[in-house]
Amino acid sequence: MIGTKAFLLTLVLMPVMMMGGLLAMPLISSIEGPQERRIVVADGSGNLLDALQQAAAARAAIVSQSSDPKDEKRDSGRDNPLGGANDLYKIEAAPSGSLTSEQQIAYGDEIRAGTLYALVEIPVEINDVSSPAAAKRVRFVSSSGTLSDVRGWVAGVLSRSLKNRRLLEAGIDPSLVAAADTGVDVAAIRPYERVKPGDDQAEGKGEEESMASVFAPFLMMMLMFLVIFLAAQPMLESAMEEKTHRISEVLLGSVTSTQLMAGKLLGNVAGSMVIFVVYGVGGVFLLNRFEMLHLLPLHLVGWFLVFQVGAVLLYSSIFMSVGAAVSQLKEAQSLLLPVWLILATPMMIWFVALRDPNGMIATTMSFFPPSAPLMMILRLGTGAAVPAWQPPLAAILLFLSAAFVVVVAGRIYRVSLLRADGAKSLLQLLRRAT
Amino acid sequence: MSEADAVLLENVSRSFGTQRVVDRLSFRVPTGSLFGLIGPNGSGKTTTMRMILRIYQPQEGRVVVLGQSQGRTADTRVGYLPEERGLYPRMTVRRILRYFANLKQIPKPDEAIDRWLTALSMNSWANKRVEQLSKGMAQKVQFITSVIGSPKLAILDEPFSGLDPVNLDLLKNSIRQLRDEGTTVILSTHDMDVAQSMCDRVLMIYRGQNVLDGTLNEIRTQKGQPRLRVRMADGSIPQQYLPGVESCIANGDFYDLVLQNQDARPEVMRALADAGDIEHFETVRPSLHDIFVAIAGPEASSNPSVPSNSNTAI
Repeated sequence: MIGTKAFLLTLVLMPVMMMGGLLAMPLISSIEGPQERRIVVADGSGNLLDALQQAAAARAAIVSQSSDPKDEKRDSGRDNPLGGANDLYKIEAAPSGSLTSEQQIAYGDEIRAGTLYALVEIPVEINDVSSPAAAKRVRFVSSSGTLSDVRGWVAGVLSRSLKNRRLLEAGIDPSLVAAADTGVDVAAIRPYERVKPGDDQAEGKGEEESMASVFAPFLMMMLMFLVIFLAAQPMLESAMEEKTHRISEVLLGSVTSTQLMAGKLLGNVAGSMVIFVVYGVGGVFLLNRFEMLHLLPLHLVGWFLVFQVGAVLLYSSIFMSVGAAVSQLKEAQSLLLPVWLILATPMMIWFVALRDPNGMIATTMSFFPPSAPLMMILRLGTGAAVPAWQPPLAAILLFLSAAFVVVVAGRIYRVSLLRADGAKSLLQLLRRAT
Repeated sequence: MSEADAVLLENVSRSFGTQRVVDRLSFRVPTGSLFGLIGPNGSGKTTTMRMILRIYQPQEGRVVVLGQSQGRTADTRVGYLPEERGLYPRMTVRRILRYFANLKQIPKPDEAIDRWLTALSMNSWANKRVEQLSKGMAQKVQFITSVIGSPKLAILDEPFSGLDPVNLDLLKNSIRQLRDEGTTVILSTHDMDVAQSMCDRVLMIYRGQNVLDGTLNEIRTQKGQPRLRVRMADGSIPQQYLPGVESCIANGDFYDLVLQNQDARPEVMRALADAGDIEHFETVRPSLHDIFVAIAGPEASSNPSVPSNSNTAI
C-alpha cells in the first residue's frame, strides 16, 4: 500500500483537496514575498487621494519594519493598515478626477496586461452626505476585485478619512469620538484551574486557546477521517484486484484466508501510522512556521492513536470483505454507500458537537462505534470536561465491534474470494457470513 | 496412512448448495511420485485439490496431507499452481517471486529465485513487470511461485496450457526434476498424452468419484479392452464376419478391432486370415485417452476442453 504511487499522490493531494487553499495560500504567499500593487486613483472628490497615499506609505513602513507574517500589528483589528496582506501599494494619481471613456479603456487595457493592479474612481458626490448611495459609490476596477484585499483596504481608508473630515467639519475632535467608540472586549476564558497542586493561584486560559478549541478539534477530526479514508480505500482496491486478476487462489495456496486478511489488516494499521506520522510532521511544520506550535493538542495524540487503530481495523475489514465479495466497482460503491454515510455523519454535525461537546448528540455519537473515532476526538479536542470514563468506554466498544466486524468480514472474505459471482445487495453480502 | 503416502483421502465428500461435487472420494498419493489427476470438467478435480490445500474443508471424510489431517493452516511445504493464473500485473518478476518466497518463509529467497529463473531461461526477464510478459512467460513465473520453496508436495493444475513446444519440454523436465529431488507432484491435466507419458500413477475422477486409480499398466489391464490393429491388402474389413469383435474403429490406414475379451483373439485372427490377405497385424493396448473417453463418454466429448476422439467408429 505505502509503496504505491497512488498512495503517495493521495497522501499529498488529499489535504489540499479537503482543506482547499486554506493551508496552501499563506504558504505560497510567504514563499512569493511581498508584491508591489500599482493603483491609479481618479479622485473626483479632490481630497481623498492624499489619505490613500499616506495610508499606503504607512503600510509600506510597517511591512519594511517587519517581514514576519505573524506581526501583531497585522492582526490588530480594522485599523490595521496592512489589511491582512503582505503587499505594498503604490498609489498614483490619474490625470483628472473624472476620466473619459478613452482613459477608462486605456486603464482597462493596462489591468488586463498586468501592469496595473487596480483603478479607483472616486465620484465627486462622495463629499455630499445627502447624495444617493449609488451616486457616492466608489468604483474599484480590477481583474480580481471581488476577492481582493486591496478593495477592503481602500474602503477602510476612505471611510475613516471621510468620517474624520466630517467630524472636523462639525467641530468634533475625531480622537474624542475614537475614544468614545472603543468597544468592550469580552475574552473567552476557559475555567480557572490551579497552577500547581496545593497552590491557591488560579489560572484561566484565554483567547488563543479559545480559537484552538474550535480549530484543533476540527483539524484532528479531519485528520482522523483522512487516515481512515487513506487506509480503508486501498483495501477495497487490493481485494478487488486480487479477485479480478485471479491472484487470490495463488495466495491461498501459500497462506490461509485468515492469515491473508490478518496480514493485510496489520499492514494497514502500520500504514495508517505512517499516514499519521506524515501528517503529524507536516502539521508540526506548518504550526511552527506560523508560530502556533503551542496550539498543538499533544494530549490528544494517545487517544487519537487508540481510536485510529480501532477505526482502521473496523473500516479496513469492511472494505476488504466488500472488495472480495463484488465483481464490479459499481457493486462496491452501492454496498459502501451506507458505510460512507455513517463515517461522514460527524463531519456534517461537527459544529453542533463543538458548541455542546457534552450534549446528547455528541455524546451518543461518540459511543456509536462507527462514528466514535471522529466524534470522540472532536469532543476531546474542544477541551470540554469530557467525563474520564467516556473515552476508554468508547474505545472498548470500538474494539469489541471491530473484533466482531473482523470476524464477520473474514467469513465473507473467505467465502467470496473464489466465487465468481458478486454480492449485489447488503443481504447477499451478509448471507455469506452465515 | 503410511509415511509412504504424501496425501490420503478417505471417503471425502463436499457439496456446494444442493450439488455434491465430491462424493465419497478415496485415494492415496505415494510420496515422491508424479501423480496424474484426470477427469472431465466439473468432475470435482479442482475442489479435491482445494481440499488438499485446506482452502475448502471436507464435509465428510478425512484428508491427510504430509501426515497432518487437522487445521486450516496453509502448509508452507505445499506449493500450488491453480488453473486460473494470477499475478500482480505491475510488479516485477523478481519482486513477485520474492513476495511468494517470503510467504513460504524461504530463508534465502534470492538464491532460490535465481536458480529457478536460470532453470527456466528467464534471467533476462527478472526485472520486467508482469504485464510486459507473454502468456507463456507469465505461466513460467507462475510455475516458479508454486515450486520456489522446493515443496514436499506440489499441486499443479494444468501447468502446460499456453506453452510453446520448447517451453513445454522445459517445464516437463523441471517437473520431472522436482519429482526426482523428492517432491511429490500432483498434476491435473486434460492432456492424456501428458498424463500417459509423465505420470507414475493416474487417478480419474468422474462425477466426484474415483473411477480409475493405478499405474498406467494397471489401468490399461483393468479398464482397457484388448484391441487388434490390422490392415487388409484390399483395405476392407469384414466386420460382420468377425466373431468376438465388439466394435471396429478406423485409425488412418488401419482398423482397430475392439475385442469382447482377450480369449477372442485366436478366433479373430483365424477369421481375418480366412477373409483375405493381411498386410499388417499387431496387438495394441488402449491409450489413456481411449479409456478416458470410454468412461466419460458423451459428457467429455460434448466438452470442447476435453480432447475429442479423432477416430471414427464404424
